[in-house]
Amino acid sequence: MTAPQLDGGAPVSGTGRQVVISGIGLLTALGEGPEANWKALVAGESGIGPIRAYDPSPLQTRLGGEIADFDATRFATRRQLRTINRGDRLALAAARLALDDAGLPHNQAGGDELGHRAGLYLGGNKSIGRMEQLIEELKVIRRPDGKADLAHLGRHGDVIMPPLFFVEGLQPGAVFNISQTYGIRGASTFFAGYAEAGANAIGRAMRAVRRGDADVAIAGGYDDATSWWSMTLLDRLGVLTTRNDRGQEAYRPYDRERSGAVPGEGAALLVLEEKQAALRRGARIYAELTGYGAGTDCGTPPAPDARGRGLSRAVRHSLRDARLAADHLGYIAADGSATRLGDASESVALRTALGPAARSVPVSTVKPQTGHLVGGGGALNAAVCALALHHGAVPATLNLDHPDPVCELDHVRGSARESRPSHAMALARGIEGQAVALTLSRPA
Amino acid sequence: MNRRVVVTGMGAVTPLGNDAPSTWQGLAEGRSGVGQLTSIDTTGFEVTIAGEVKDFQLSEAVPGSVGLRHLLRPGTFGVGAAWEALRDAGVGKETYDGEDMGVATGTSVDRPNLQWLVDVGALREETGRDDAFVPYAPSDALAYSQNIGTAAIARMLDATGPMLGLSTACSGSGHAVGEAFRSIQEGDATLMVAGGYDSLTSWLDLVGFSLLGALTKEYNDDPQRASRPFDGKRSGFVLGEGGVLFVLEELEAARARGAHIVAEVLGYGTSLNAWRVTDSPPDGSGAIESMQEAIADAGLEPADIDYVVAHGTSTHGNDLSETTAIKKVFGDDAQRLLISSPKSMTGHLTSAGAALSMLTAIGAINHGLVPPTINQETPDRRLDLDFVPNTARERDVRHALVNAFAFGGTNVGLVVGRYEEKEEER
Repeated sequence: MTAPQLDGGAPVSGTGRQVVISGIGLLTALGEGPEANWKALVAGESGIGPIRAYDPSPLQTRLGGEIADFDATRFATRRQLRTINRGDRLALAAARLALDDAGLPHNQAGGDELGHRAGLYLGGNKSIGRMEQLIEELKVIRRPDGKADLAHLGRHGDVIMPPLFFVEGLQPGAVFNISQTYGIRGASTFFAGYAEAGANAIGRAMRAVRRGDADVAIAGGYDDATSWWSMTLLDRLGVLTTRNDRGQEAYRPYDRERSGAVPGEGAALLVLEEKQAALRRGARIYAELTGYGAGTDCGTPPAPDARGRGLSRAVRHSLRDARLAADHLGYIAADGSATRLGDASESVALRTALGPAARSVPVSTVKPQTGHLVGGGGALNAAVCALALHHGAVPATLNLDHPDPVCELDHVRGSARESRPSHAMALARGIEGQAVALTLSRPA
Repeated sequence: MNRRVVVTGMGAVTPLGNDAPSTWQGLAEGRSGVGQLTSIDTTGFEVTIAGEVKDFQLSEAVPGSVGLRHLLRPGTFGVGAAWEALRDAGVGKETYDGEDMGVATGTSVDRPNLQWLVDVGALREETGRDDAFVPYAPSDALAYSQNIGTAAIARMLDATGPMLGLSTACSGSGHAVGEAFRSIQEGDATLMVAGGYDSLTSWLDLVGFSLLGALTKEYNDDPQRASRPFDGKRSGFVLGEGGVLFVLEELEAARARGAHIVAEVLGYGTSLNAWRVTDSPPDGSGAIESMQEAIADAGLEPADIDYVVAHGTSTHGNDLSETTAIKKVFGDDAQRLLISSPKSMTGHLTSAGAALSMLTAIGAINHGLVPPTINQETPDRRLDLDFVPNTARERDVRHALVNAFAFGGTNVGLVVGRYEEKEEER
C-alpha cells in the first residue's frame, strides 16, 4: 500500500470554518493543568505506583497512576457531589480547568452561561455509580445458602438501594453535570468505550464546530480507571501488565520486554473554538484541529487485527480530512498499549498508512508516565499533541530500552526531543477494535 | 452541498415482533406488547411488567451466529436486528470496500450481576475488609464490555470504517442515527449500520427507576393499559427492551447498486437541558431547540412536518413538557399535526427507543398510515393536540420528526422524509 495521496476523494464537510484548541483541562497522576503536566512529561517523570486507594490484592495488576490529592470540592458544591462518582468528578474538574485555561468567560467566574452555541462532547468508560453502600445494603438479601433473595429485594428495594444510586450511575452523568454547571445547551453527545471514546468525542465536536452547529465546545475523555470497580472489569482482560515487581518500569510500550499496560485515572478535556471567534477575543491558540478519522479492526476482541486495519484506516482518513500528506507529520502520540499484539499491530498499521514517512516521523506515548487513561487515553494524546505543537518539543516513551524490531518506528526514547513539528497526530484504540486518529496543526 | 443519506434496510427485535415487518404490523394495529416480566422473578416487586422481547434466540434468527455465544441479552437483539437490516438492504461484505462501511449504536453497559454483589458483600463481612472484591473472569469482563455487540455487528460486514459507540440513555439510538447520518454526509463512510439495542429490565432497573418514581405501579394487573402517553391517567413509563437498526447509505452509491430506498434522513439536531437530571424543563426548552435544529438542518419549515413521533414516555412531566415544546415549535400549526408515541405499545426501549420511533416514522411514510397512541381514555385538558388516539389513521406523510429525550438532559431531533428524486437527477 502506498502513502495517502491528496486525491480529492470525497470531500469532508467544508464550510471554511476552522477549529482551534484554545484551552486544555488536564488532571493526571503527574499533576493538574497543562503546564504542570507538560513539565513532568518532558522531564520523564512517572506517576505510576502501587494502587493505594484500596487494597489491590485481589488484582493481578496492582499498579496504577492515581491522583492522590484530588479535591473535588474545589470544582463542585457538596450537594452536587452527592450524585457524582469519581470519574465524573474528574471530568467536571477538567471542564473548569479547560474553561479557565481558555480564558473563556463563564457563569462560575462571574460571566454568563455558555448557552446554546456551546457544545459538549465527552467520552468515558463509566458503567455505574459508587457501589459501596449498595453492596452493604444488599447483605440483607443474602439467604443462608449464600444465594440472593430476589423477592426480598423486590419487597424492600426502596430501602435497600441508596436513593441517589441510580442517578449517580447515569452513564453520561458528566455531560449532565458539566452542562448544568456551565449552562451549556448546544450540540452534544456521549461516547462510551475505551481510548477511542474521548477521541471520537473530540473528532465529532470538531466537526460540529466546523459545520456551524456550535461556536465553542468542551470535548474530551476521562476515566477513574484505577478504581476497584473499573479494575474488576479490566484486570483479567489480558491487556494489563502483571509485572508489579517492576513498578514504574512495568509499562514499556514497544519494548522487547513489554507485558501490557498500567491503568491511570484522569481527565483530558479541551476547549475547541471557531478560529475567527478565538482570534477576535485574542485567545491563546495551542493548535488547530484539522483532521479526524475513525476505523475498526474487526479482529477478535480483546485481540486487535494483526495488521491494525482499523487504525490504518483511521490514520489515512484523518490525513485526508486535514488535506495533509503523510510526510508533513512531525509527531505521533501513539496508543502504545504495550500488549504483544497491540504494539506490533500499531506499528504495522502506521507503516502501512504512512508509507516511507513512517521511518521519519517521531513517535512516542506518554502512557508509561500517566498510566493508560482508558476512556480518557485518546483525549490525553490529543492534549499532548497540542502541547507539543505549542512548546516545540516532543516527549519520550519511558522504559523503551530495547525496541522490539517488530515495532520499528522512529521512537523518541531516553529524553524529550527539541523539535518544531508543524503537524501532529493523536491515536486511540479500543479493546473492541475501534481506532481514532486526530490531526493537529500549528496555527499559521 | 451535503451528500444525501438514505435508509435502505431496517431490522427490529421488539416486544411487538422479532422482525421489522411484524413490529410495524403491531404498531399499525395498535397492539400492546407489554406483559408480565418473565426474565426475572418479580415476586414482591412494586412493578412486575415490561415490554419484553418474546422467544428470540439469536442462534435461530441468525445462521452462523454460534460464535457469538458470549453476547448478553441486549447484544443478541442488536446483532439480530442488524442482520435483518443488512438482509433487507441486500448488503453484504462485498457491497462496498469494508473501509467504506461503519457502525453506530446507542446502548447501555450491562448491569452488574446481583449474585456477584451479594457475594462481594459476604466476602467483606467474612474478611472484615470493606474494600474486598473479586475481579470478573476474562469472559465475563469481555461480555460486559460496552461495545462488544457493536463490534460483532461490524464483523458481520467486515466493516473497518468508523465504529461509534454512543451511550446517552434514552436518546442513545437517536444520537447514533444522527452521528451516522453526519458520518455519511461528511464523507467518513458510504454505509453505516445505525440504531440501538438495550435491555434495561434487570433487578437494578426495576428498583432504580421505581425509586425515581419514573415507572407506573398501577397497572401490574392490566399491563397492556399501563403505557398511556398523553392520557390523563398516565402514571409513569413501562420498561421495554429490544433492538432496532437501519442501513444508512449515501444516495448515489445506493442508486448505483439499485438499492430499494425506503426513506431519506434529512435532519439531525441535538441540545442539552442543563436543568435537572431526571426532569425536563416545564417550559419545553431543550426539546424546543432539538426539534428546531433538526427541522432547520433538513432545510424545512415546521409547516413541512406532517407527523411527529413523540418521545411520549407516559410520565406526567415528559408528556407535559413535550406538548408545550411542540406547541412552541409549531405554533397554531400544532393542531394540524399528527403526533403519536409507539411507547404506548412497546414500553420504553431506552437506548433503542429513538430507533423504534424512526422505524415508526418510516412505516408511516411508506404506508400512508400513522400508528396510534393507544390507551387514550381520559383526556388531559392541557394536552390538547391530536395524538392519534387508539386507532391508526390514514395520512399522506412526506416528512416526519422523531423526538428523543433522556435522563441527563440530552435531546435529539431527527427528520426523515419520503425519498424523492430531485429535478437534476432525472
